[in-house]
Amino acid sequence: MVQHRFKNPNVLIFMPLMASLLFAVACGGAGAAPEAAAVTADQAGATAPAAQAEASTPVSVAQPAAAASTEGEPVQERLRVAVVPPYIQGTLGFLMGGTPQGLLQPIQEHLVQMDYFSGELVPMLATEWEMTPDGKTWNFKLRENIPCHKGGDFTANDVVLGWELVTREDSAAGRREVWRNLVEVKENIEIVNDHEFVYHLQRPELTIPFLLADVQTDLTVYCSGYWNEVGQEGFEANPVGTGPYEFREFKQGANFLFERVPYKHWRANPDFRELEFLMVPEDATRLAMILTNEAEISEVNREGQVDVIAAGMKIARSSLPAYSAWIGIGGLYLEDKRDPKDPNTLLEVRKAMNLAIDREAINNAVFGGKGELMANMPYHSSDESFNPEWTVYPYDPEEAKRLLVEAGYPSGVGVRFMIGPLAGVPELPDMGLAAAQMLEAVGFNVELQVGEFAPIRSAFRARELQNTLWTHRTGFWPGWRNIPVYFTSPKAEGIVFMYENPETDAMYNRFLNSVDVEERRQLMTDIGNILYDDYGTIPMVYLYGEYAMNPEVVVDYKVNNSYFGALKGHEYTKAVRK
Amino acid sequence: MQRYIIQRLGQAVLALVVISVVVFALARVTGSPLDVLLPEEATAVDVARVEARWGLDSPIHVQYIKYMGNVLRGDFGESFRFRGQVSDMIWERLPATVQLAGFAVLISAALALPIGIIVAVKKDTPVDTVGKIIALLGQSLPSFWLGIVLMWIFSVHLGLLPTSGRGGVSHMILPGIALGWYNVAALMRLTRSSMLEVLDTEYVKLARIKGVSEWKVIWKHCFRNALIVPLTYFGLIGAVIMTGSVVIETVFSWPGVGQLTIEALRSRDYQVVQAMVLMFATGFLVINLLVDILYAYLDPRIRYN
Repeated sequence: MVQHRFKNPNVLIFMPLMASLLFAVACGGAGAAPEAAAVTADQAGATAPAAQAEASTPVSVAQPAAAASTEGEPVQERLRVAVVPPYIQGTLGFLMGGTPQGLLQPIQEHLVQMDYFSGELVPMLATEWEMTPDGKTWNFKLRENIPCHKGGDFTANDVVLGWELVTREDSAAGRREVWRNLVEVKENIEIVNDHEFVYHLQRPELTIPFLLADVQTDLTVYCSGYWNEVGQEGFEANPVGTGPYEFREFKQGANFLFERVPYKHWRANPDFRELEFLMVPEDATRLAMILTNEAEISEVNREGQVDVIAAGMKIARSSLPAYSAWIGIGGLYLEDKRDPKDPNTLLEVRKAMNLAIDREAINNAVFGGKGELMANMPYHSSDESFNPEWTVYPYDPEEAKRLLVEAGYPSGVGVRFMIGPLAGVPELPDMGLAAAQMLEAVGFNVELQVGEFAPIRSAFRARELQNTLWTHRTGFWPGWRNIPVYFTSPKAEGIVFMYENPETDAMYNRFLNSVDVEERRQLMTDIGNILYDDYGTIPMVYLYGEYAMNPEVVVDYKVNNSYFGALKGHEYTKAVRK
Repeated sequence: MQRYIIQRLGQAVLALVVISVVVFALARVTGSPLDVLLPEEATAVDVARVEARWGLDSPIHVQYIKYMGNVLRGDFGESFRFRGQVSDMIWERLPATVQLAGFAVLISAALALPIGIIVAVKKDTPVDTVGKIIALLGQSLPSFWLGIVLMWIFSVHLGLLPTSGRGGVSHMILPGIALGWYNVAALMRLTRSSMLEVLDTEYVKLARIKGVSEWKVIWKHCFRNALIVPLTYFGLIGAVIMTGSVVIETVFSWPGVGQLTIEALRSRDYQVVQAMVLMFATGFLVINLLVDILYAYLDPRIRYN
């Protein structure tokens, strides 16, 4: 009998394994992303972070921002930031709109920026601005000698191009209609010279600096010389701006790569030569990446922060809240959509809902105690229209039960509760579920509908949320910015259609047409008083932007208070000097 | 044989048409992409404008006819989400998925076939028990869970492999195992049972009586004949791996068509979802067609029946 050397079948395992390995080697692409490495640390300079300039009110003459912060050579090679992929990815901001445009923040600049610490509007590419007393003419002076990445300098023509693109037919900008209505035609932007222009508006508008600010994203600056030279297709392939980083690469679903400009930037010279946004949809993967040093900054859920801190990482937190989480009460529509049998239309029921919620307990259990309890949506205590008499609604389940009896529901009342996740506040579904349990405890029969957020959005646009509650979050905006979105009817400028009241509509119309700052502030407070006394929503918590960072590479990350997440402000991120 | 192939081709085309109708309708049942496309501040004017821009204001049957007309010309439309041609996006991402899927199939075959043979040969021994445990775990562990556990052990705790992304060989190992693991179990069980059946046949007994070496009995006489059942399953492996890539590519941030599908589903990007389902379905049908033909070629009874 012939003995074969492969008599033992175990040997068979290794042959295919070797084949697999060879296949893998053949298919393998480039190696792993380069580790952050120290470079010429001794040459690197260090100065203050964000441009700190005197705050400007809408009607005053603004002061120029302080120039350059970080200077000198880069300190580290690459900063990798693991982010939740925005729902649209691309390189033309006006076609993406909203949060996705945050992907382009490293290369773009705006006329105005919101100070990270004070929340005040300070100059960016504009140096000063002035409004005529009627609120319809705004004069802007622009910074000079600001180079665009592919040549040419920033001029007033770039502002005009920005308006043209944002108001185009295919624009996805959230404020497209606002800008179209305000300016109407291109000719209403008068170019005085390369560094001065004037908006001639169709109606008074005192919030122009806010609408132009970086936290809004819509109306950014597009380098018109380069656009005219390469066209939309060329611009899309290689977008440019005036920011501290230049565009290098975009791989769909994988990454965005930027490189520090080769010249001294007027505002910030980043510590990192390269900045990379890694698109990582899975929470657990982003957590693993920060723990394995595959990312230096990562968006990590608040519950994952325990692991991050235990591993010696740090949590960077915004100095102002970035989000507000709340529960909407549906059905408070004008007559055409109001259902008289809808329990939500009764004040006692809405009050009972608010008194049934133990906000402190939810904040501790769901948000790890990191939230700031909200008294009146949409007014933060720092808002100039905030009324100190608005205190957080107390937790009083007994009173809630009594109110339900008084409203005619001694044996309980049914309500639909739609719960859907939204980026930035991953705890939103848990918050909704906890609130639902508390509502059940006082006598509400809650019909839970847990799923995507999109159906909720469809329903509020269609004004079909009668006898319904839903979880929601918004950015950290001033009251006057949220009032038209959430608290006006279709007869005013309503969009979300949640709380419709002819009285608040009238007040908002007066606000829109007023150029008296004090009157406008008082009108906002008056609207807030109505919302508070009428229990128009179920306010919950304000939340801060919090991101994990590796202290071996990053000394300081100034988290912005917008809902761009970890996409913004990395020109100010300070690297460890080796 | 020719008639058999034509018949199977006809069935495949019919299946594709049915799938296209179902997917087209189901995608729209989930809701409007405008809810995701437009920011919250968008006005009714914006909604109407964008609806018209994407042709979503036409009746659904008109949209379907127009869509299929374009598909037949090779045009899958423009992505709502990425604003590019869907076919370009798929071609851009397909190599990554093929690379990962190929590696996962190799891992499945490399592990399952030898283990299946060994446990069949070592029936009712501790080796066989270990094989059964592998099979049980393989078929009961969800791939996303396995992926995260593998990442936690080999990347976070041991620091041996990268957590995610597409890079060198090391980047393929964890997603490859997570993707191929289910098939290891299934394929191993099939190989084992098929081998046991063949090992019990008369001609194998005769070969042993004649003094043919054990290796030759297993490898030449048994394995080749036992291969037909696992081979049929390879058709399914392609489909399982392609659909499994949707989850695994998301967990490991692998920029392939699977991840694209999830992103498209989340943002209700109909055009991409439809194209992806049609692509997966076509792949599944083609693979099965090839397996059927191969099967008919290997076993003449099938084509005569």
